[in-house]
Amino acid sequence: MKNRLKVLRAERDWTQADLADRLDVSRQAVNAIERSKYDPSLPLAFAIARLFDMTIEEIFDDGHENG
Amino acid sequence: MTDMKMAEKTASNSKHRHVLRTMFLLSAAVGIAIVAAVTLLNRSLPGEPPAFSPSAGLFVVLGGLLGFAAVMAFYMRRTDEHDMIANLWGLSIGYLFFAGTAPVWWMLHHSGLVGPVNFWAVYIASALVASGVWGWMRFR
Repeated sequence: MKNRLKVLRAERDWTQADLADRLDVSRQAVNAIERSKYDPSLPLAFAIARLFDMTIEEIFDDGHENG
Repeated sequence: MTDMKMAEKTASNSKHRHVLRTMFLLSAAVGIAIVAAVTLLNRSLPGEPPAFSPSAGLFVVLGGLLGFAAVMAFYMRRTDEHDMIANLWGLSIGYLFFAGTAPVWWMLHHSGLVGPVNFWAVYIASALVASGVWGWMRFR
């Protein structure tokens, strides 16, 4: 699933390790999510959205139009 | 269960990540040492009495099972969802490899094409397949 995690992280000048610490996951998990190799669970997606003060839909794009 | 509690359950605390790695390396070292010791000590030939007493054998087995259960409980509490899913895939494919290899080897043996099934070889190969899948999903 496409997402804006890398851009959002870069805007805050965070490393993958910084973001992993904030989300309480491994750096490899952040890397896998950023590269769309792994889709986070709903609780982790909510935690990501909360961290960036955004909605899940603003960060993740499943390719379907809302409507 | 709230989102935060679910996240806490599925996520790991980075402060404990090195503890987890150290614990697994230590467990592997202890396991290899025990297997090596058991293999070297158990040199009794067929027909001779076994090298280990029943109580010693039970002690090793129970110690191993309890240690394994403790390591797994610790791991499940500390790991994150990405690692856990990599593990589930690794273990599933490792099991399928085992379940597929053993009967194929058995059939080929009974067709006179290969020697008898070596279940230790299949077991070790399955563990290597599981580890490989886990590593690929974890670090790709």
